Amino acid sequence: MVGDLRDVLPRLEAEIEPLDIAAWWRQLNEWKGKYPERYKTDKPLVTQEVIQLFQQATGGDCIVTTEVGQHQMFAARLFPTSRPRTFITSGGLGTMGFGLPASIGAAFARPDEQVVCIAGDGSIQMNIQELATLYKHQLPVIVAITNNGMLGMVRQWQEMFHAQRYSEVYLADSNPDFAKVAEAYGIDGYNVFDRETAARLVPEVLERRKPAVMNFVVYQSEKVFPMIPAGAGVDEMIIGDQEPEEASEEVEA
Amino acid sequence: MIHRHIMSVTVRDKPGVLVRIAGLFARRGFNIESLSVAQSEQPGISRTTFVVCGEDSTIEQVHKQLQKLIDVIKVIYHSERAFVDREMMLIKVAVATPDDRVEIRQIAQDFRAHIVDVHREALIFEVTGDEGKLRAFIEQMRAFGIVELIRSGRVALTRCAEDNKRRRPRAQAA
Amino acid sequence: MKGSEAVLKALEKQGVELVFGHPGGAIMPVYDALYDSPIRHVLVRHEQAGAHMADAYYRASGRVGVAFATSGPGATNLVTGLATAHMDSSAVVAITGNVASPLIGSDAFQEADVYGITLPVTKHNYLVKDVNDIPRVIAEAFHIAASGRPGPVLIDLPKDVQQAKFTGTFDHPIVLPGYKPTLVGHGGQIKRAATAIRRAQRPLMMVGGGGQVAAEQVMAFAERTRIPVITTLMGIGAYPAGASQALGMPGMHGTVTANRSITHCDLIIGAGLRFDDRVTGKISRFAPKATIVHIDIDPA
Repeated sequence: MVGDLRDVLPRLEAEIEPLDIAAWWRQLNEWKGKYPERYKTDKPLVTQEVIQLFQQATGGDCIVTTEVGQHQMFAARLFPTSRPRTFITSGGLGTMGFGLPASIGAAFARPDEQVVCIAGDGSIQMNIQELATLYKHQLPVIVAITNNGMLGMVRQWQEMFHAQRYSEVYLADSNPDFAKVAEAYGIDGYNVFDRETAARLVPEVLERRKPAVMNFVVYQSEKVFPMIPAGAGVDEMIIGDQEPEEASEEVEA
Repeated sequence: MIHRHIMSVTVRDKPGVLVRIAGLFARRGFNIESLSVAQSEQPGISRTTFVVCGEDSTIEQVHKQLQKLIDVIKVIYHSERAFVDREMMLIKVAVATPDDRVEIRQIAQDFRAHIVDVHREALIFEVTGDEGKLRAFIEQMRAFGIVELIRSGRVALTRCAEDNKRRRPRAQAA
Repeated sequence: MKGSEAVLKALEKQGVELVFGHPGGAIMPVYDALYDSPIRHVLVRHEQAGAHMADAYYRASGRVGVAFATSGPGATNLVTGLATAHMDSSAVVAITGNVASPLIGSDAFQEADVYGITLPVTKHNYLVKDVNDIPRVIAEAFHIAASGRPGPVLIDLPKDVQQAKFTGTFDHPIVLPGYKPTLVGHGGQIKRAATAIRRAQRPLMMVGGGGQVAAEQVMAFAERTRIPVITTLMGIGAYPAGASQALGMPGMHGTVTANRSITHCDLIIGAGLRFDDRVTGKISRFAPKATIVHIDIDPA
């Protein structure tokens, strides 16, 4: 049906009574109960934790922009916002380098909001020069780099579908010290290596309402699950680590 | 399945319109077999006719995407029975002997083709008609030798009786 | 008044308060006029970033984002940003300077066929040849960018047009015979959809980027019908993530619940999404038992 949702939805609503779908909801709630967001922390700091720290500290009451890659998917799953026009990400084109300038554009559009940019170490370098713009206008943007030293999403595909032939995805041996880069631009920079420091710093830095870059060094081989491999159907999704386990080292988000 | 499709697109007479339409066809893998464009009866509005060759399954979406273009006013997808189409051709035919000349001229007369250039060794004919007629004339002339030919591209208008009906796009056999 | 000043005045009339840009030789007249204008300018360090900023400005506020760039490399640097905005239906108006009209097409310094290069990544674009066209073009550009299914529009201004004397007027009605987005849904279709929805035993609502302008209506609909709601990546925030009826994100990296519900549902109400391949996976295996009621402003 072609039309503006603001016209069509209310008219459609007027034709419908509350639906009697209790059985369907029972099934859905069963699945929801069995498959909450989960990830393991029996390893160094992981991307998911970092993102959750921001979610908890802001209550989701902020604007989130993302770069592109695994962190983008984790942000969509663990840090979804609840107001319209507050989750800004390059969905259609998947442009690395979008997140940092987007956070600046959003901050100008909504000057009263806190903006959090979730980035990867690959993406952030594509438009890193805009730290100058961020500094100049002193916008309340925190750039949270989930730094796994890799082009994570490509690496995941290579691990799962290309016999672990990790071709050209290694960044760690040539990444700059991101905290130093931030400071070179006049912005507060933090390198974070462990979960205790992360848990302490995130709310602190948010409180300051100043531009900041936080470089979280995270576990390299994390994978985003579920995953529907290319060419496969929705019913063929690989559940991976979202499957409940007996092991208790799991965190339920 | 790949078929030939004929579309008449009414457009605003602005620079770049043709490029956009051609680009859209190219992007969806449609080959443009013929194209004609000229001013219509309304000032500032041109009518174009495209004959394109491509997948049936995508033609409906291409139709809608064309309609979305800002300078496109209307898109008509022609089905077999609902339109009148014509094309003009200039064709240079080799004349080897005087007997050939007589035969060629007779055939031309049957096709109501006009001679527009006369020479001892060749003749140029102007032929107007639908796809079938032009194809038939070319076949007839092939026996004598076609030196060169050029076609103007098909133009089409919906038949009067079809004007108030809406048809779903259907393929025409290539 | 010169063409460049007319540009700024036309932008002011559109309610523009802020532009993101980077100057250069071919757009200097506009930047000179900007010096006296109340419109604020944010200097970027790469034009691509400027386009992304304008894009996000729109996404966060609903107001059209504006980006400036100079000719040649400045304009080509915008392309990725325009393509991003185009794919995500974002309203951006990009204004680029170009070399003087007589030089166009001659491989002049910092020249590029910006009109040609941006054709496939914009909703529409313009190359202005007559200085008096400026107000009409800008008004049309904003209208096209923000209405129907939003998208980026580029306006290319040769330097001599910027410098020419402007003798036109500013109040132009928008006349675009080829562009009439359908805003009002068809009554008959709505009734048929309602019938299908009433019969459904396992219905689902999927909200995409198009839902960002209609969050209120989505919420009201969901509340009344008690239907489960899935939000795609572009739909996050259009329906509250924490709501009890929310099932999360579908697709390639979507939640188990969201994806399972798609496989088992018998009806999907698709509100403002385009069923992109990242959401559907293999089409033949997408929602095999479901009737799909697709509501969108874009007919294609």
